[in-house]
Amino acid sequence: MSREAARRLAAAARRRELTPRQLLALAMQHCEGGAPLLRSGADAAADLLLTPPARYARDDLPRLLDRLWPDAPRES
Amino acid sequence: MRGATLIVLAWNQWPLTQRCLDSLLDSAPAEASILVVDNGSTDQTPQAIGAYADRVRYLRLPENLGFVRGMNAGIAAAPPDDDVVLLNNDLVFTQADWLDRLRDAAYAAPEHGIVGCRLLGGGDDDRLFHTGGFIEPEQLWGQQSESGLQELDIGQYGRTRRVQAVAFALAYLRRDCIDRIGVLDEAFHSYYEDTDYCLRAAEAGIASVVAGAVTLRHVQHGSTQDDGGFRARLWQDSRRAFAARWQGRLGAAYRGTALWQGTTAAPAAHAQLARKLVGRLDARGLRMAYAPVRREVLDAQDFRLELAARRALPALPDAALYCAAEPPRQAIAGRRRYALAFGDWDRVPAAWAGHYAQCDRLIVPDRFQAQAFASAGYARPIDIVPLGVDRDYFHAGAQAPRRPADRTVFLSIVEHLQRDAPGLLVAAFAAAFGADDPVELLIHVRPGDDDPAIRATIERAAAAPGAPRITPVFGWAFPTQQRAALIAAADVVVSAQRGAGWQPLAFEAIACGRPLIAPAYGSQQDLVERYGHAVEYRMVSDPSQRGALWAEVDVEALAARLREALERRETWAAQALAQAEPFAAAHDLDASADRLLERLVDSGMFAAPRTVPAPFRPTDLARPAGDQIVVLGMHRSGTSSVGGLLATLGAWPGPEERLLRGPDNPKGHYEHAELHMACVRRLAAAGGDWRQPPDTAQAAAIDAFRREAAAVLDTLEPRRPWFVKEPRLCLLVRELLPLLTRPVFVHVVRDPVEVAESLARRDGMPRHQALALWERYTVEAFNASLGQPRVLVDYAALVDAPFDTARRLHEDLIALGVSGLAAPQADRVADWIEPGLRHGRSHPAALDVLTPSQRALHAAIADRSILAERDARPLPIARDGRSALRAG
Repeated sequence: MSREAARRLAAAARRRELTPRQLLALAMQHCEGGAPLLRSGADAAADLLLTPPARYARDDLPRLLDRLWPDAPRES
Repeated sequence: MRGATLIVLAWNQWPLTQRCLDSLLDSAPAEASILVVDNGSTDQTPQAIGAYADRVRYLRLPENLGFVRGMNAGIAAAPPDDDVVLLNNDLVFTQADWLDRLRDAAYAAPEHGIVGCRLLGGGDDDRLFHTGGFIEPEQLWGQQSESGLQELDIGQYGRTRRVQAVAFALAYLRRDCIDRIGVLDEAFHSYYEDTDYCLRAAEAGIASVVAGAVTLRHVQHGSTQDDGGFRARLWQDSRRAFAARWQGRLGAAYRGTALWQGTTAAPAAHAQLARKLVGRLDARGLRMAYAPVRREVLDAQDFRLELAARRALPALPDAALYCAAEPPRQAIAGRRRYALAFGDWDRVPAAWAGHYAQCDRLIVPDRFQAQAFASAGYARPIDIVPLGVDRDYFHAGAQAPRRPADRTVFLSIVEHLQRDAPGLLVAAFAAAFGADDPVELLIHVRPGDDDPAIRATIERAAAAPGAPRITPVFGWAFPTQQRAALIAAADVVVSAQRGAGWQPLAFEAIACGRPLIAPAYGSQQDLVERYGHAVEYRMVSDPSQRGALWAEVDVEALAARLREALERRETWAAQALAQAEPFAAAHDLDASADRLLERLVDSGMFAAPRTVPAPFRPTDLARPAGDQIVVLGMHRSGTSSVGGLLATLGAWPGPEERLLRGPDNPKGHYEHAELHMACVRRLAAAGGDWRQPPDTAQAAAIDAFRREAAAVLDTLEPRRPWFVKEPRLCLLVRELLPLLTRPVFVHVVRDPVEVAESLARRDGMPRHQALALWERYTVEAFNASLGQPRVLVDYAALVDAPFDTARRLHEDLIALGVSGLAAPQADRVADWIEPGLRHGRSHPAALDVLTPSQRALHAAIADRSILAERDARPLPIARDGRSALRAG
């Protein structure tokens, strides 16, 4: 891992109150859970962490608005 | 009268077929002909279909011949003039007017031949499985949408638009398309036959389109599931056949290779450009590769982008385009080097001039950015390519999953603490409103390095005593195509950004019909001034860029605008909705892609574009016309005279007692009264009349008109040749095209100044209005008959030389294949046409009053060149500045 990547990984871990190793492990779990990566292993996990945004799902917005406005009328 | 045969192909799975038929019978017009082709079902289908015998024809094939041969059997069994609609038996028809909307799309332009629709999944699945697809030439994975994803339905792709291919789960095939290229190719059993058909059509100049106004449900592979690998074998066989025919040709269509060096991650504006433009350039014939300038993970949001990222890069692509927030530190890798760039300041940092100097050409989105680079000492060529909005997603019909009814929601999207100034935004919001006000500020914070600082800023403001409702959203990174739904969930979009750089949000907000509050500065200046609500600002230094200035909004001014937005909410909303469509049409991202392509290829590095076949026109078939004649002409142009003339030739206008007579035309109009009233009602239903033709109409108004007109045409059919004549048909006949079988159009034209004078005498209409109306009617009429058999009758010639004109008209109609007409007789013609019929003659100099477009139209009519035109004319601009919406 490059020095730049290590620095950013450390910063990302700090924001999440994790150690870099813990964060890397979580990211690798995420990769194995189906994230569409072209690389593998620790490099892929680091890529994932260093790339905002890191989380996509096709139905995120409806879930977000369900959470924000549970009482608002549904339009679609 | 021509109809449409709906062909439902079934193979076992009776419950699916039954559900399909039930929903089809609920939604299809009563006159629609339904044909079930049974591919040798061995379940209860043959017996159970008997319950539908009163509405459904049944064709049983001896065994399962596959999709292609089954559908071809259905097409062969349909009436020879009918259009056909191919339908899978796993469709559910959830929309009542789907067939009429497909017809509208099929006849919107003469070259349209194949029409598909938006297909949702089965049950309550709100994902779109098909919105019109394409196929890439390397692996031949056919994609069912432009992004390659099954996107959540937010109302995207609601317009009728051209696509490379449609899925034949549902396909409306115009009869002249079948006549031109034949039926489905039986080299395919099932699969790939639809893409093959659409590509064959394209080679004949026939367009495939998706009618965005139609959305149906499709139980994916319901018709072939549980088949023990049978389907997989079919797919492999068809793929091999497809590859043999098309793979080389598709690959050869690329003009060269271009590399996009950029980002799909951050900043959002640059990422958006990669996501939106790489695919568009690829679809326009550049074999696109993509390379990120910083390490990033592609997130499977776009198939074309992923494909570009996977492609092996040529050592030196024909062109490379750099597009990232930071200037290029290393060489841009292309035979020609371009950069698409913009900065956040009045003058980009001086170092940028050096970094971008390696570019053969710098491309910026507007004059502000060109000036910002020039001010920094950049001396090489700069091109301006305006960047627009993706209209397929961002439009007033975009749907929000939820929307609060009890408050006004202000939306902002921020990414950088300094550039986007969330601190100023929340300060202004807190100054404008209190805890009891019915408002909410929703701030979506895009993931990035500034997350924590932005979060602290917003949460501090939100927690202050008496603060209004401020809702930050962190850590959510929904797909970009859902941003339209986020905007749709808001009432107002607000930005306090200091930076001058191009940002898609401002464009998207306006295109979605949401009021925009923002400083009119930088790349957003013209946009906000013209379409938004500007906020005062002052120029301040960017602490991170020595000597560079950017805009800082005045917090009090922003607070005042926010309050105004609440107080005038309804007015602002109405204004924003009214300008959404014209704005989007004028700021179309596809036009940006076209301009960008021009810039990239004018380097001479790329091969010439492949020759595009001339657009198909029904007249290309050289088949004899049917004996249905439609007389088109502006009011007071002599259409009644020509109607009477046709009657003397033996064409039937309908029973005498149904024809109109009036004081302004005592010899008779030769207008069928019921058709006339149908036209009057159709214009009225759309809020207009013959003097003020409406630009658009509700679908229900079109359907009602079509039904009424169909009833009239049915009464005429037994006595061909027949004709209909009604000046309003100039505006409306396009809606009747699906009902007509190879019609012939007789355009009656008259000097426009004479028309205007006649209207002034009869109706007191001002001359400029009459001329504008003449132009509108005439352009609409010739656009509607484009590519169809048509002739032109000059009213002046008719009055000056009635018999010669009658003889020429007769010869023209015979030549086009109209049968059953009698030769004109001099005495009967002389009885009917009298010179006194022409009430006024204009002096040639009177034509000086015509506008340039009217003069051009008049000239094209005078030399008859208009008959040979192959492209639709743009509709005239109304005097109030509105452009008419329908063209071609």
